[in-house]
This record gives sequence, structure tokens and C-alpha cells, in this order.
Amino acid sequence: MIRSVSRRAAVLATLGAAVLLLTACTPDTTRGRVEHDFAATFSNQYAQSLQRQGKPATRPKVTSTVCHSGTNLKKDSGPGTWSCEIKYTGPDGTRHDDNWVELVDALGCYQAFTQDDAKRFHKIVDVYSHKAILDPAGSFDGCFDVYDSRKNVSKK
Amino acid sequence: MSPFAAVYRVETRKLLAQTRVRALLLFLLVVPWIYIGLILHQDRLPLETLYGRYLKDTGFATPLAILVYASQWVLPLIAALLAGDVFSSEDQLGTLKTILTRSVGRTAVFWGKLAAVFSFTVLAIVIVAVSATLAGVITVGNDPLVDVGGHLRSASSAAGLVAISWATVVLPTLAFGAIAMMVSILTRSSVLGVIVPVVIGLVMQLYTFLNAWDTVRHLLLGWTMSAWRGVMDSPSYYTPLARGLVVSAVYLVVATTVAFVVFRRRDVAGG
Repeated sequence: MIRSVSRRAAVLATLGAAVLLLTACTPDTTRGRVEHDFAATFSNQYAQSLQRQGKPATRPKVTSTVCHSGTNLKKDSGPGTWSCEIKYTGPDGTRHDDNWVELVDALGCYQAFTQDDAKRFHKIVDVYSHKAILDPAGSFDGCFDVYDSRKNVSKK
Repeated sequence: MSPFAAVYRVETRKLLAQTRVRALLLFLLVVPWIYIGLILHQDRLPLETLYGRYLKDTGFATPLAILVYASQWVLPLIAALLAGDVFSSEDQLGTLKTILTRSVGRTAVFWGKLAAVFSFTVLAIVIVAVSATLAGVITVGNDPLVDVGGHLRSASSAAGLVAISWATVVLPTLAFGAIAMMVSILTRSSVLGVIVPVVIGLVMQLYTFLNAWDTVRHLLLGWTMSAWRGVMDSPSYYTPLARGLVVSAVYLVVATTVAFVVFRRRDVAGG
């Protein structure tokens, strides 16, 4: 009788520990990861856009990146639609304040595009391939490491 | 010739003689060409698919976009079609007794069949990967590829990354093959041997795209199937791939061990 009760208690404790372990972990998609990767990838894509137009590949100076999940209203985590506001200064000194949308999947990758359709669907002629391509500074794909230390999910 | 080599040789010939296997390999050879042909003849691009936006820019996007689709359901299906009836067909045709009265032991029969199936699974992956790369490069060109970090990669670097990305899905696909063999041995049914791994793959895939517990997702084969994305980033990261390969190895070893033990203990004479 005592053995049976202790066995049940052990099973319950194991199950409880497993559920706690599963639910207590940091979500894969966090605000910290989305903001960091979006800013870094945007900067690279911007420089690449210039490079492919035959201009010096200069990165913009990103001053601020703020992203929020539009799907999860409690905290900034999880896949779905995210909105990002990025402030940067271009190589010519012009200040920009752009709003972007990111469609984040459950595997840590996303499709990002600016809310300005003129920029989103703008095409440039690639000096290397001589093809008309979508401007990388208006839309791009990105991925982030879901095991890194950027675990911030705060809405503030 | 060792008993293992003899079984391997015979099983390889048997697989190659099957119309289903030949049709599958031909299908994998042709499909990438049809896919990129259709993409080039339409105005829109599959922008919602990773690398879909680059399909008309560089040929190296073709094998990567196809890898996104393949890793979701095609690769588990390939593994199941090749491995799902390799043992159960012997049960249904009543040929297992004949095989086991030959001068090779059960161990050699098991590992010979397993090696033959796994060889064909790897061959199928190589065929679709090479065909997709050639289809892309020949029809679109070998222009530089943009990685998911936003950097431009030269043609040679892109070719290497494509090869590595496809190589990363070999182990999880073999794990699906091991599951198919295990089901095939446990149920003695070719239908279940093919269907069960595909259903498992679909369920795993369904869970992978749900906004559910992330820790569980990391323990599914679908996660490893998508871990190549980290290799394509700059700077690249390998933790998802390393952990995913361990998970795949666990599935592979457990399914193979169960299949081996059950096959060794099977009462063939009694039916």
C-alpha cells in the first residue's frame, strides 16, 4: 500500500517536473532576438542594395529598433506577425524612421518587408547579373538563433 | 563474400528492380525542373517561402526553396516508400522462411536490408539535391546568393552551402526510414510500414508550425530537417543543427534497435 502510494507520488512528481520544464523554458521567438536580428540583417541588406546598384556598400547607422508581436498580446514572444520601427541614418546623412512588418514562423525565420509598398516592391538592376531584382532594402528573409541569450519578451 | 555483403547486393538489386523505386527516383530527378520551369513562367514569386524571393535571381535559390518543401513532407515520404515494406513484403510473400534457411544468419539479413534501404535513401536525397541545383543553375544562372544574414555569397560559396544544407537532412531522413522499418517489422504490413512514418512526419510537421511548447518542437525530427537555416546565416550558428542531429540519432538508434530485437526473436516457422 505504502509502496503503491510512493510510486504514484513519484510518477506525479516526474510528470509535474516535465510539465514545468516544458513550460518554463524561454520561447524560441523573443523580442530580443527579433529586434537584434532584424536590425543586423536590415543593415546588411541595405549595404548589399547599394553594392548591387554599383554604389559603395555602406551600412546605415541604426539608432533604434523596436519590435512588438501583433499576435501575442500578453508578451512579445512567439511566431506570428510582428511590427518593427527602425530609425537609422543613411550614408548621405538623411534620417529615416521606417515601419516594417515581419512574418515570423515557428522555426526562427521570418519574411520582413517595409509597410511602404513603393519601397517594398521597388526593383533595382543588379550590376553583377544585370537582372531586375527586388530591392533588398525593401524586403528580405532572415533567421535568428533560438538558443542565444537574447531572452527579453517585455512589451515595454 | 561476407554474408552481409551478399544480402546487401541482393537487396540492392531487388530495390532497383522495383517499378515503384525507379519511378520515385525518376520523379525526384524531374520535379525540380518542372518546379523552376513553372516559376520562370509566372509573374509572381513564392515570397512566403524562404529563398522563394530569389528564385529568379540565382539558380542556387532553387535547391534551397525545394529543400524547404522537401523537409516538410517529401523526405519522410521518400524514406517510408523505400523502407516501409522491405521486411513486410517478405512476410506477405512468404519468402522470409526461404531466406532464413540460406547460409546467412538473421543478423546479416537485417543489416544487409537496412544498409541497402539506407543507401537508396541517401541516393534519392543526392538525386533531388543535384537535380535541383542543376535545374536552377542551368535555367536561372550561377549568380551570387544572398544568405539569410543579408550577405552576398559567391557562386562557389553558395554551392558549398547548398551541399551542406542538403547533407544536414540525411540523418533525420534515415531516422524516418528506421521508423518505417520498425513499423514494417512490428506489424508485418507494408501499408502500415509506409503510412505510419508519413503520418508521424505530418504530425511532427503540424506540431512544428503550431505555436506550442518550443521544447517539444526541438525533440521532433521536423526541427532537425529545418536546422540547415542556421548554416545559411551570417554569422552562422550551429546549435540547432548539433542538437537536432543528436535527436535524430536517438530516433535512429531506438527504432533500429527495436526492429533488430523483434526481428531476431521472430517465430518465422510458426508464421
